[in-house]
Parts: sequence; C-alpha cells; structure tokens
Amino acid sequence: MPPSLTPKQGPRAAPPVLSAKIADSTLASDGVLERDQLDALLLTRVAEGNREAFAQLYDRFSSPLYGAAMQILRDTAEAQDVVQDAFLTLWEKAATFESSRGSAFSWAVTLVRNRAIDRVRMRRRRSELLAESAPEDLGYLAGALQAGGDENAALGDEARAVRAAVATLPPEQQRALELAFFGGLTQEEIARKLREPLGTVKARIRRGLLKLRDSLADRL
Amino acid sequence: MIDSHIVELACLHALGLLEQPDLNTLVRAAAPGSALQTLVRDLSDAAAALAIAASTPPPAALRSRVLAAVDDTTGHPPEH
Repeated sequence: MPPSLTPKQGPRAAPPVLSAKIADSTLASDGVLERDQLDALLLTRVAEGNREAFAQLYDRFSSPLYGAAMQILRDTAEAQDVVQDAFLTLWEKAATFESSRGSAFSWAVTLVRNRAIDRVRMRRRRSELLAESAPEDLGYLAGALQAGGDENAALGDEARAVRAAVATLPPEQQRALELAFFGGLTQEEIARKLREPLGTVKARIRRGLLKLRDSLADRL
Repeated sequence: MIDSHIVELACLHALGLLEQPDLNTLVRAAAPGSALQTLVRDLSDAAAALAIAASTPPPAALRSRVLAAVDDTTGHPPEH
C-alpha cells in the first residue's frame, strides 16, 4: 500500500447518533449523501462494530473488488481469498481510515490490489519467468464492450460509465494503465513489456490517468 | 500550478508504482490541505475507478463466508 502522504489524524469526530437502519433508509431513499460520503459513514459504523453497516459495504464494494482481484489473479479461488482477507481488514482497521487520503472505496481497492499483486509476485518468484506470469492481454475493456445485451444490462451504471471513459483513452494509454493497475508490474517491467523507454511509459500513465480523472470528475 | 514532474509522481503513486526516493519527494511536496494533496486524492480515486470497470459479481457464497469470518473474529453472533 502506498504510504500515507498525510500525518496521522487524531480520533475522529463522533458519528451521527442514529440507528443504522433509520439512517441508511434515509440515505438510500432521499439521496442525502453522495456515494463517497455514504461509504465513509458506513465505514465509521463498521469501526463501531456495526455488522449491518459492514454487510452494506460488502454489497456496495464486492463486485468491483472481486472483478479487480480476478483481473490480477485470473483464479477464482485466489480472488475470493483476497477479497475475503481485504474485507476482514476493513472490519478490523476501519477506525484507521483517513478520508483526507482518499475515499473508502479507494482504500478498499488498495487493500485488494496489494494482496493480489503480492500473490502474483510470489508466483513470479517461484517461476522466475516474468513473461509467463504477466498477462499478455488483460482485455477487460474488450470483453466489456463485446458483451451481449443481457450482460450489459446487468452492469451497473457506474461500471458502464467508467468503461466508456477508459475507452476514450488512446490505446497506448489504456494499455499502460491496465498493466500498471492489473498487471502488478513495476514501472521498469511495464517499459520492458511494452518495449518502450521508461519516460514514454510514465508519460502515458500520467496523461491517461489525468484524462480519466477529468472524464470521471462528475462521478468520483 | 503544480510542477509537471510532481504531477507525474502523483500519478505513479496513485497506481502504487512509486518507490524511493521519488516517494519522499512527493511526500515532502504534498502538504496537508494543499492543491497537491487534493490532486493525489483525486488521482487515487480515478485509479480505483479502474476496479469499477472490471466489476464482476462474486459467487453468492462469498458473502456468507465473509460475514461468518467477521463473526468468528468478533465472537458475536449475527445481529439478524
């Protein structure tokens, strides 16, 4: 996990004194809070030991977390183990969440990604063959765009919006971002795999991520 | 205006690609409450959105497994 860029904060402010069910019902029906605020509120309740809030976080996060783990690991059993481990960490470490560092969702993604990449790197050390363990074609976008109507209908609006935003990036930027996020490779490994200078790869990642941020500004 | 090299470091950090000594450079530059800290947060969220693009429903059994594991951790029975 990337080290925090902010100093540790003191104890957090007391959460709203509402029963979980009343507050959640209000939030869900009236849309009072934005997605990130609701996630952060749920995480605050998880820190208090609220199992119902934890179950709601599972329902909100599990599909993207499992999808990311599957993209990295390509193994259903390992992906499930990683997701379970990450959720247990969320349960145990919820009180350490720092909203200044990123959203609750982005923290959860980091937990899953780090665990999955650790496993991929362990595989690589065992095989000592980088080319065999780094996926040649991550292809989640291609799969998503070619999916049939039923599958597309089952996707959430958010997933469709993010996929559409990624699809607007030039292919070389998409590829660099995919390798960085799902490939578990270092900067130098990405450059070797793409047979491009390191500076070119860094520039593609920078341009691609900045454009993605701008494209998703209304949704993140 | 944030220096373009620092922006690049922030992008690499968001994807977990930043190592020493560049990480220290970014940490020193990102003062709490600064525009750079906001950028780092926004880029981390944008990177995390790639997981949304990969969304795949997990097997239904995983939910029960995770909730049971939490119950084992706390020693408390389910609330419902």
